[in-house]
Amino acid sequence: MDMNENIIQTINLTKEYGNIKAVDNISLSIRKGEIFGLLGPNGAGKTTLIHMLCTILRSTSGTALINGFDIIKEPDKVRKSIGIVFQDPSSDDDLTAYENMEFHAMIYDVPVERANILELLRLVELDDRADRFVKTFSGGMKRRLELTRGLLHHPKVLFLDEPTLGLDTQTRRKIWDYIREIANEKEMTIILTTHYMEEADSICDRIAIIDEGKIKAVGSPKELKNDLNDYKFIIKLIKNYDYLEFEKELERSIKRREIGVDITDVNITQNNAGNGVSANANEIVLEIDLRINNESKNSDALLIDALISVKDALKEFKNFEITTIDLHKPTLDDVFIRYTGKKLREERAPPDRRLRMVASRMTSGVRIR
Amino acid sequence: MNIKKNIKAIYIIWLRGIKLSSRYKVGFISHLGQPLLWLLLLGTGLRGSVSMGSMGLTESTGIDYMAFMLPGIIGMTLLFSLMMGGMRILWDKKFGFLKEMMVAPISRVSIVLGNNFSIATISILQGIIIILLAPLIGVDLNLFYIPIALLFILVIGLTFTSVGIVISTQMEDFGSFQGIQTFLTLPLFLLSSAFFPVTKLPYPVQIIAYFNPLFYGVDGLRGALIGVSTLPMWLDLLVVTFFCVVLIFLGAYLFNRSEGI
Repeated sequence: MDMNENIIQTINLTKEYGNIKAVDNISLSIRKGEIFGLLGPNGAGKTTLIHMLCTILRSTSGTALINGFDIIKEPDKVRKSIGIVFQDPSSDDDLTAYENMEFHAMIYDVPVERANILELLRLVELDDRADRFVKTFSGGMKRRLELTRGLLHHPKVLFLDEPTLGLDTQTRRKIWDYIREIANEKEMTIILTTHYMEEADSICDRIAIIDEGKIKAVGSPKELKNDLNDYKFIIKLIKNYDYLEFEKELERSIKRREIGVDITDVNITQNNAGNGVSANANEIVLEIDLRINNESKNSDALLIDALISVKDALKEFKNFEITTIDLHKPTLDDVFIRYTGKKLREERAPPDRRLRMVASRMTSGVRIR
Repeated sequence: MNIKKNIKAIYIIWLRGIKLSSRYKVGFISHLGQPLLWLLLLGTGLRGSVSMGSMGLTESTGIDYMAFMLPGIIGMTLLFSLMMGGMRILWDKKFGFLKEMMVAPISRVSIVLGNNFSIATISILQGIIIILLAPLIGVDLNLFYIPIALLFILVIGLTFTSVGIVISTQMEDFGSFQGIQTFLTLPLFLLSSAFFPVTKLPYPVQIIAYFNPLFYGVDGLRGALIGVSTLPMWLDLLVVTFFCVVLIFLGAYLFNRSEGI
């Protein structure tokens, strides 16, 4: 690839703490103007990587070029080229929002008037609090302040380390909208880390999955998901019939067919819980795991063929009623689990996030009703 | 990196430090108030009971204990800059503002110097206040030498701010910093000749005092303000400036090297 297109190029970048390689020989290219996501479990090395790129942490070996400048030889020019919003607050609590902005403008040698700063604060809805001390701000307000502060000196590259961690849904959405807006308007390259998979999925042009200091996979969310090739039909039906016999027959019938894709698993369960449709009807959940090993790009067509085959298999039976057919396509969560072998360390996540992740998984399937 | 840019960066960091200090009026007053209490209570109490002859001064100089103590009390005020210097760095480290400065296109040295000067500025203000109060408590000062005294105050302030910064680069938390600071402050103060000339101490302890920058600072201040000193004033200034420069560079070096963010 043309070097000019890469605004960031890391070359065997490594950071060791004793025997532990926090960042292990990472060579990564980030293109100009893209929104690039770094995903990984806690302690994977994302923040260490970002801290090295923004020159506040020295690499053990290897280097990186940002905007054409070497992070080790020309840290000053690198610092001029980048803006960063750290994971933890980095504003001065004992200064006002305005004074924090003013300090930043002075230290980056950007001539600004009070009106410019107020305008920037207005973008993040903090203009009415310009002269309040930052210590009176909530976490979300501080994050917004730091976001707009990071943009004050018109950086070419903006690093966002967990910009929405611990914020409520509404604030998160606002921050992402703002990030999208500036990425579009200013043709800025944005490198971000986040724990929220669906946010990464919707905002990032490309994603790198990082674990134990190494890059496990890089690609657009779509590519990464497509590479996974694991799909699942979830068909719910109601049948007044002998369940056990039905299960056996159905499984046999499905497995017998040439449906164009590999069936990795068929799972039929009976859901006795009252489903509200009919008091004495039993709901049967049929789950068919599929893998498309075919190189074919048109996986959707294959899936429709497969569905038709399943339908044909079901045709052999009578007296049933299909309530829903779901197709579960791979989500970024699935990609993440595939490459890191772990869910986002959910055991450590606060309960609200755990619930939210479950909810997202439940609704992420494409529904063809 | 060019000098003009560095000076501007130092100025910006200095300005921020002054803003912060101006918001801690309580700190300013207590750092001034405590030494003044020592001066007023101890100084008044001992004024009549300490024979200046036994302090190594002839009665004829007309200097009483209060006058003897005043430069030492300024030194005591300046010792607080050790704490302020260290706390400033640790505070910024803990609450994250250090990262904002570290990632900015300015040199690490300018961060150290900016903080150093802003704290020294506050120290000078406090020194000036004590000097202004001197006539009220009946201490006559050498008005002519007051600029020299201010120079000493600046250099001592910078020296101890740097000591604080040096220590803070080796510490992660406020608790251990305060432990070290408390442990250091007392010997630094008692071996500075603030309350009594070090020549009154046993010889081995005197040797230790000669490694104490505050000794030269207080001795020089005393020479400038009341015309009495153990060493010549120029020697005091030379030595304390030497300590100051070494410690500033050591602070900048250690700060630059530290990765604890």
